[in-house]
Amino acid sequence: MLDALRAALAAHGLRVRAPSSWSGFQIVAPSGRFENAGNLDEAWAAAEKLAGRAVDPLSPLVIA
Amino acid sequence: MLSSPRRFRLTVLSGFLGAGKTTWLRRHLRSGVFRDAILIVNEAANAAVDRLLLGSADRVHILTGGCACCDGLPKLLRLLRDLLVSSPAAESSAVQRIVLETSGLSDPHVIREAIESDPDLSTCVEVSEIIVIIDAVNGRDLLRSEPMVGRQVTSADCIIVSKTDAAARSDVAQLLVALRRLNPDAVRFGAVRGVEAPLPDPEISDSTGSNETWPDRGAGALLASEIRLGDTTWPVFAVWLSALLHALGTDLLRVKGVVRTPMGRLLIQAVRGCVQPPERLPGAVDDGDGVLVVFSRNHSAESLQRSLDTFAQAARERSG
Repeated sequence: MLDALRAALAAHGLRVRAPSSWSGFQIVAPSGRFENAGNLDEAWAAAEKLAGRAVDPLSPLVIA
Repeated sequence: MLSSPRRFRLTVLSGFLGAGKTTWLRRHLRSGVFRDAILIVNEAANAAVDRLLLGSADRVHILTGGCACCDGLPKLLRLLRDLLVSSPAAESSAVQRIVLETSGLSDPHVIREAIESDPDLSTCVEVSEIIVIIDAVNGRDLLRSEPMVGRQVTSADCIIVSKTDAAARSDVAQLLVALRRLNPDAVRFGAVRGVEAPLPDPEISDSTGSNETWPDRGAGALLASEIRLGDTTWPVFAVWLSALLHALGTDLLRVKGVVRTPMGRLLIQAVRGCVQPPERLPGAVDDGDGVLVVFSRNHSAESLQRSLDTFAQAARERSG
């Protein structure tokens, strides 16, 4: 699951950390800013906040 | 003119995408209500996901690739004619029951009219009942946004309000007001997972009445897509579906398919952006597994498939 999420968010220039101390994710922007997410749905919202745009799996950025 | 001693009583089971038609039907098949019935299942898409769920029922006929009220209507009429002469008890004069589960996009009134105006079928097939299922959670929104839902409701002899346990009592009451306004003559029941459940008192419903209107308009092209999972792994599929649900929200009207996972075969369903708890299905792997039927607004099958394939490719590159 983590690898798949990392691959998906790499297209948006974002990295994913998975701290061993909890079950959620940390979404990290190139600037080092990060957002915590407790589950996948929160991960997309966090990614959108950091990327400043919609993280849309159907966007040309992803499927071009 | 077709000559057959056979007589059919046809129950049409209708309702919009994700309303709970198959859940209701599975429940009633298990309880034996439709024990001797011939079952016809219509799916707008080419993939017959419901065949995987109803396959254990006797005498199931699947009509795929078009709604039974339009593209699939000739196939339905042909099937009914075939059944009149070839059903197991075709020589008998006893009345045989047929249950037709329509696709979520079908207009049951058109089906009734087509049968009643067909010279062969009108004398042998009685459309005895149109049952329409409407989802208590999404029903009011759908009445506003989907003209077909209003047409289904106005055609109904019986309206079943499903998922009443998941909606606020006041929302169910307001939905009942709307249903009564659209079709005052229909009998109304509640249902939770296919089992009859109480509805709010009609007097309470009336007291919460509103002046809502139900415009006959759509909100963009509603497209049916079949997405093939191929060798996509379960984690990649789960991440992709999660991203899709987040991005499209209520524009993702329906997702349904059987997916092979390390936990076994899972029935995956979502309605208007909300995922239902996956259901583990018994039985061996089926050819229909791994095909996801998606109804969405303005997103083609090609873009959805390419999106999933891109996710899968990116994950492979990352792990490889």
